[in-house]
Amino acid sequence: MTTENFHTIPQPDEMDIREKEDAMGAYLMMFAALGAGLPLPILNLIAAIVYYYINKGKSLFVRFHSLQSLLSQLPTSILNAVAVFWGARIVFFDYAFTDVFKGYLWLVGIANLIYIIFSIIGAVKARKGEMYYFLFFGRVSYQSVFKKEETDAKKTVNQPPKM
Amino acid sequence: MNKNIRDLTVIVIIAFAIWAGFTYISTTTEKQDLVSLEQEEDIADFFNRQIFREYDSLDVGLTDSVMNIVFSRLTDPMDSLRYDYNIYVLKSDQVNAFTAFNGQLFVFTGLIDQTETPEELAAVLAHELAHAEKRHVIKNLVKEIGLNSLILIISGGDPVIMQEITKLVVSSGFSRSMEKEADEYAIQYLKDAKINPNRLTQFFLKLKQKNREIPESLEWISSHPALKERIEFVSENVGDSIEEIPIAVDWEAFKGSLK
Repeated sequence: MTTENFHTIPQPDEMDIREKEDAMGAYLMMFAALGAGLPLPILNLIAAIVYYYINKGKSLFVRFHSLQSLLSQLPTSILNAVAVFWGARIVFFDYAFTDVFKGYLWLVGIANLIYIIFSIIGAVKARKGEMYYFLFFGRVSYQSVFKKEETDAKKTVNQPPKM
Repeated sequence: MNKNIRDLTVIVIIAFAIWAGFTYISTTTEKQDLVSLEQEEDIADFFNRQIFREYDSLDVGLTDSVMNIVFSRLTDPMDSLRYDYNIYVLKSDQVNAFTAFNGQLFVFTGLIDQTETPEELAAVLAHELAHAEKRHVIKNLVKEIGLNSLILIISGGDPVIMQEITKLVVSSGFSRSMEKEADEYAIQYLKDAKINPNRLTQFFLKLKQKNREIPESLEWISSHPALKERIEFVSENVGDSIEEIPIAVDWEAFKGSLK
């Protein structure tokens, strides 16, 4: 994939402070929502999606960070949701606190920790106007946000008739 | 695009590795947490002394032989036993039976009095045997007071704390999962010994009907929560009906000899 198919990446000195703060807000807001949504992790997903759609139109920089934040919290939210339902099942139905569940709780804990650390780094970088790519989610977000629309590339060029 | 798939695969593999790794660690640490069999022997010595200080044991020849007939019916089909089992009959009106340390099982005369057949007693013993084989007593104590304090207590033998431990063991307050596991294995033991596993629930139900208000002396019942649920569990897991071979013991004569 060549860089020609992508919009140019904005540089820190090209952005105003508002833009940088909006990008930072994407991480902080979703990160706060993760905690608030713990009893029912689906709620913070809705909040994240709403935030993404509000900021979508602002600028490519804000849109990139919002999308990266939204995508990267997906796996953590799913893991948390499973932990909550599995935990509830154990409490109400089978009472067996198994080793498999203990191992899963460790995984959930580590996933949340990694997510929080990366979100903080992402927020700080965004505030400075820098791009910051998470493993996997960074590239996916970049490809989705910065890719030029197909119609731009296939611009119709009028030709003279064949003679 | 290929890089995305590669990265996603790496993330998924790492996540599963963390899950599997910590599951393995949880499994092995639980085993390490447990007190060794030698340490358990020491605890058993202290504990037995404490019990025999509080209760009179019946050690007449008939009691011993009858209990052994009933118990060996359960253990004979088993490939291996964790402990050299000893069964003590304690003189008390309490309807109770409990597993202590190092394969020491205790049955109160009050409970034997409530049974109508030796098979019913075998069902109760099968449940206690399962607690012992699965080392529930030690696991429970480690959970309740912690491994370090337990070892400290064994080495110190503080009588006041030993009394507390005794109370805990006699009341056999196991977790629901432990009770479920004990029932599960008891069903298996009873089946292997050609005794109808429903004897267990029959005994429960009978006691419950006889003593609607569940007086405090009915320890064995009141310490076993969610009776209805357990009866359901046992009846669901009994499986194919088996032809019961009765235990050849004059039960009424035996019960009479306890008085």
